[in-house]
Amino acid sequence: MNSLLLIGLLLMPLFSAAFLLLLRRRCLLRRGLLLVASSLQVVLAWMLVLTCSDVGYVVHSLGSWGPFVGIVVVADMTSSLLVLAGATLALVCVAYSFFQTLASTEHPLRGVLIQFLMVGVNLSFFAGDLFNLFVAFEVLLLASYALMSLEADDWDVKQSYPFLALNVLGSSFFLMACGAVYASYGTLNLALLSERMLETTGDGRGAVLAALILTVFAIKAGAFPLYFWLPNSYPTLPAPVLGLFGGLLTKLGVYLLMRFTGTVFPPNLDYHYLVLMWMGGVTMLLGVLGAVSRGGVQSILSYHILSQIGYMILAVGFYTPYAFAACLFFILHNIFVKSCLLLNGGVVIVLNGTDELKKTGGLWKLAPLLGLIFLLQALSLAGIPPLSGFWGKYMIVLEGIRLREFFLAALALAVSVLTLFSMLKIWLGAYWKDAVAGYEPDLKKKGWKGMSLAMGVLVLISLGMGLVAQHFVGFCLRAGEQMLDAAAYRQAVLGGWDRRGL
Amino acid sequence: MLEESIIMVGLLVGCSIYLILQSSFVRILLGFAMLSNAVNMFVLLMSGSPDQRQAPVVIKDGPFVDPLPQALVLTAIVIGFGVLGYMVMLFYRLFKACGTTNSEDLYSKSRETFLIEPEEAEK
Amino acid sequence: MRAVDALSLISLSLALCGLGSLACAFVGPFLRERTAWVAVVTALSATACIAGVAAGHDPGTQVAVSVQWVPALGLEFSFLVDGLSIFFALVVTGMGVLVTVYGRGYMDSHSENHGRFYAYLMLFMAAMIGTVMAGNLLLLFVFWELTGLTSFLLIGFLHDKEKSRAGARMAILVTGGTALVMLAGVALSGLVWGTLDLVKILNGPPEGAGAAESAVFVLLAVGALGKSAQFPFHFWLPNAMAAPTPVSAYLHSATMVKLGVFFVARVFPAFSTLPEWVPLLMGVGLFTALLAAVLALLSHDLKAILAQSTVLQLGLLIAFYGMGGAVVKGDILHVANHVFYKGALFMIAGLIDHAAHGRDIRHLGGLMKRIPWVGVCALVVSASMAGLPLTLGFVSKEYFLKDLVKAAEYSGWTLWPVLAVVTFVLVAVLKMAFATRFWWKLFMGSETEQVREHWHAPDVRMVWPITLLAGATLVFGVWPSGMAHVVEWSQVPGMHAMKEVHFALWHGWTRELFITIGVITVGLLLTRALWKVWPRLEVPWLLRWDVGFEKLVEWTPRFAAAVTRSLRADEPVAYVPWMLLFILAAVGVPTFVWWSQNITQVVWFDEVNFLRGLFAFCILVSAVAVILLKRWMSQLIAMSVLGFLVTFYFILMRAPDLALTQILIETVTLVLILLLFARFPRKAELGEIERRSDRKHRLARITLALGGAVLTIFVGFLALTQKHPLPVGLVYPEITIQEAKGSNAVNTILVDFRAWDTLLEVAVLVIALLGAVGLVNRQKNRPAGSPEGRKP
Repeated sequence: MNSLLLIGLLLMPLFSAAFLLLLRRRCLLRRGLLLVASSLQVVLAWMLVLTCSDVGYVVHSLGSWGPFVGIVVVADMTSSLLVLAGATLALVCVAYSFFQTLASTEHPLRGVLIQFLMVGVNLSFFAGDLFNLFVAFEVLLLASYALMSLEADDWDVKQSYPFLALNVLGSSFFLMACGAVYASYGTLNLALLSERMLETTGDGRGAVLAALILTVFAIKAGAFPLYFWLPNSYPTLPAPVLGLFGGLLTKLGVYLLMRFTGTVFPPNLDYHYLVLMWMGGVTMLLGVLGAVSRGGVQSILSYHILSQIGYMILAVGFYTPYAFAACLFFILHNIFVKSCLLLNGGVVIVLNGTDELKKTGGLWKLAPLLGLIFLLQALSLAGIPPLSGFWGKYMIVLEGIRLREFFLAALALAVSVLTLFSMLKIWLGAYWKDAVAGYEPDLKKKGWKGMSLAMGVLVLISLGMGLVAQHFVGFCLRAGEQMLDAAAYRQAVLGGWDRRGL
Repeated sequence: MLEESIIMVGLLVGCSIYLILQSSFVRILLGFAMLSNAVNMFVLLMSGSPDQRQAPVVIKDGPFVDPLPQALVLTAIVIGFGVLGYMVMLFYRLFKACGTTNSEDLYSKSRETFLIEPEEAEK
Repeated sequence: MRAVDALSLISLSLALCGLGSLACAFVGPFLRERTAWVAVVTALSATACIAGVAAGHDPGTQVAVSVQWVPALGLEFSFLVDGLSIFFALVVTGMGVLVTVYGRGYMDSHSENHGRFYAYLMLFMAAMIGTVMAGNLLLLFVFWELTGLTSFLLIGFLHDKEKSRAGARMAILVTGGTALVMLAGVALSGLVWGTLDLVKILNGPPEGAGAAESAVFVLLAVGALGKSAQFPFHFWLPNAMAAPTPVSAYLHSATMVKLGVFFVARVFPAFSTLPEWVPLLMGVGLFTALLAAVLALLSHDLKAILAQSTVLQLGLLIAFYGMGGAVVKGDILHVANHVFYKGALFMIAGLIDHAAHGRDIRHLGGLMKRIPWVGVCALVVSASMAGLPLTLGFVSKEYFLKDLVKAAEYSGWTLWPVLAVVTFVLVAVLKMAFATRFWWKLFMGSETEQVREHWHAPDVRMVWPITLLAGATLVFGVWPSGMAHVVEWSQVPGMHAMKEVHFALWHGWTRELFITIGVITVGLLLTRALWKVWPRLEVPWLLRWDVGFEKLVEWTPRFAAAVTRSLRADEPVAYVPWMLLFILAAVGVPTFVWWSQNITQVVWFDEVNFLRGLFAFCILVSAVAVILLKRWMSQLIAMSVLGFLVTFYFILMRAPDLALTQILIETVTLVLILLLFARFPRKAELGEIERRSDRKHRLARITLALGGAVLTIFVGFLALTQKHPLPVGLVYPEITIQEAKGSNAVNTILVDFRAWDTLLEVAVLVIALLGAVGLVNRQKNRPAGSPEGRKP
């Protein structure tokens, strides 16, 4: 039953994508199917989270070949929670896109590709096999390439090229790493790999291969100086897709950094932690500077994704259960808050006709609820208590001070001033400032109320995360402990199977 | 050990990086194709030396070469082809959209001038 | 029993404010200016709650009441019920009532968005009650930030105006920024004390805290100084005057800016004996007071004068606590005094602004005839500001000075107390001067043109609260023992001496009295001397820190843009090399470490195979050919030669399945690229050949390419040198026939053991196809006129 949940989360989006392809142009049916599939994923993920909270791990061996010769997928508290967050976000984005465009004018492939994307995302969270993770990455990447260029006009499509090129480079390194890991440790299964790496922890091989793999994930996460594929390409996406990308993809990279440093690699990679920590710090700063330098809502927010990623990578570099819990909480918060802001930017574009802050304005008077959504989420992003962003930031800073990384802790605080600054830039430019002649907000535009409604769900979730933080923080603390408990992971995956002489 | 092969793969990776760092679409495309080949071979080499070993078809007695890297490479070849195919289409689209076959020309204009140009050209 | 009551009463007051806020927001559009009454009722009921807490409170005790909120982070929903917190809470709620009544008159039917205004105000009140009552440092911080946030909304209430927006931004950036320093202090104190419970923290540091305690204090103090607009953060408060006047009267005189003072008082027992306490608080407080006094003297905007004098008074209050020592005496007197007169003065300024449509003191005058009653009230509170007898200000000033002189005597006239006395006297003279000017210029003399042209009678509801505050100033000024009761009631164990308190109007011909007489005389003389030149005085640019800050705000994006541009963020082609460089470096370092340790293990060229070597060479030759050849077609041919050579290589590696796949894929790729070439015009190819720019960075490219090659080679050797003796792959040939019923292990892996990979591989192909379809069925260019062409 439990493993059904797990495999259901992988097959459900795959099948729904296939069905949607077959349905061709019958639009209302398509929408119903997409909505049902997305909702079912949320339900499945919710049940999986409850199960993982109870039993710790859910492991499914595909074709029952076992972890040694076959492929396994593994869910633990962290990955199931993140999948739940991702599924919820996907549902919201799908609903948002329904309100945004009429069924008849919607691009028929968008829904299909989003479902394919979810296959890749969910599998990447659950992967228990290095090469399977590579394949999941490819599914996800190709779906994101396709989504990136799907509705791009002749100007936007240029931004697909760097996105593609840098990620293909990253994939090549990943594949190389798979090969090298296999040669060195004779396995691709993460649990067995962890066992074997621990046995040979003295020699320097682990450090080299870990560096290679972590670099690949750092590209995906968007850490400086590997993030350049992101800030210019994201703003060209249509809002619902942008919300999904901004909320999920980079966070996946951070999750994998956690997963591999915490569970797979031996706990003696001090060089790597140091590099990660400082990468986090620099990313935080340069990301927010990038955000401050931009003049459009979506461009500012896209750069902010990076700045926030910096916080998470910083926490990964701290490498303690508490820091991992902080990181997980921060990821969760970001999934909801950041994508809500991006979706909000989409509504600004609908109402004002543009997202350039020089031309936007007048929204606080006309659409106060929209403004409230933005305000709550932006302040949360800047880390104003008692909103969700504050707790994550507080935990990270606390851990930084405890580990005596005073400079990085101070940097984290300084960056949040700049975050506030750039959020104010949007708030003053789009909400408080009077409308600019020629760009007056048009409240008669269709769909924006429904879009706001969809965002309301995200607002409620993130408010809940802030106000009843105890439940979330408690869960994250347990998940952080679990993430660093490699022995339990190995036992859960490898225990009870015929080792076949390995 | 497979010294000659590893050195060849390494140099092949170097060549493909050299190509990718250039700005012509064609060279970039060929660079990525070459990189894909190089990485596939790298993974295959990780099965170790094939000397005195059989192909992994269990008709005769072993010892056999390690079949797993072969399976991985097979998957990787197909995926690499998918990516390359997409890339070809992207370059075609970029050419249609921007009228150039060189990535340096892609980013030299601002959005405004880019969008207004075709109209003015008609006049 | 009593403790539980306090908890529910405080929570009730918070809930009432929250509900009131919601109610105001919803009924605002319908009730318009009458929304004020909803707010008045809310504030009254909150006051009643706090009064209930006060009634149940045993004077001279300190009780903590709490429920859990986020125990995982040490955060409790806890309140510290003692004289200090109840006094401040009463100020907050009581002033809330007065300000909302005043607001009914001020925000008349010409204003807009009444609902929002009172909603913010009620929210602010809740945040203030929470801050002053909080019994957990983190909870205090949470509410502290909420006050900053709501004040941001209030300052920017008239957000159509550029000035309001800038003022609001400045306020939130300065107070928010300093609050973050404070947050570091909160986090650090949690680590030092092991708890965030204020009661425990106030009991003093745990053993061995050492320098950490000082660090906590300094970090927390920065937050307090920022909130109370102390140097060097003093500039935000005058700019926050863009807010509607009820906001200024409430936030910027009586409540929010007092938070810094409150906080210093709150943590007094924990830190007052630290060596950093006196220099930091005393130094900053006195300097700010002096600076603000000069600025107040040079300002002409009514609200600016008052704002500067607020900064001044806050500086004095901070300095008062900054005297340190084991206990503090009579502090509540000075706070209450300021609340009364400054609140009234702001309300008067707002009333005049409202009635005469202007608040430049140079254009106002002769108002006594128009509003005699307000003039009398103004006289009382201005006198209190100047510290003239028969007002509370006089009492406050006398006892303030007395304490300073006593401290100086006690310490044997050392640096800080002497400095304090001198500064205090200087400041008092300046205060006397601008207070005199304030009242005399406004109410005496002849009516100015501004008043004649714009005057309309003020709403009487604005006068009520003014009368009340002025009355309080006068009553307590004449009857200081009434104030003494309040002060005595508010004493907190561990902070105050817990003795009976006496204030007297007349206490003989003391030093303080002579100083006061001197101050009044010199102040009046200064006023007389300055009177003629006063309108021409301006704040020198060196003291205009607010302008400097705005410049900073303006330059930050430019600096950020320069940094971002320097990172080549907008030139995709230019940053690929940097990324590669980083990857090579990040992976190269541990690789180098490994090699330097294991170089002896590597066995070189022990089993080189000639045939493989030959093919390797051929592959390399064709790769180099791809680089060197110029024509696209010949490059493509070289590339396919390479591809087919790879096929042979696969055969040499005993991989027949791979060879088959490779030959198939290679063919299809060739066709695909040929089709692409067919679409490119011949002109383009010639252009590429002639293009020179590719030669520019050739050396860098070659370096990176070599780096990539060397790294790949090293990683490959590394992996093979220490190849694992038990690879999983060798299990497959043993089990492929029994378990998977197939003799070809590669096939059984693909379709059985690792079929999941294969399924997804198919999915990848499908997605790539869909992506290609999406690319080809492109959307048309948007028309050039459409804004930005950006899709929603």
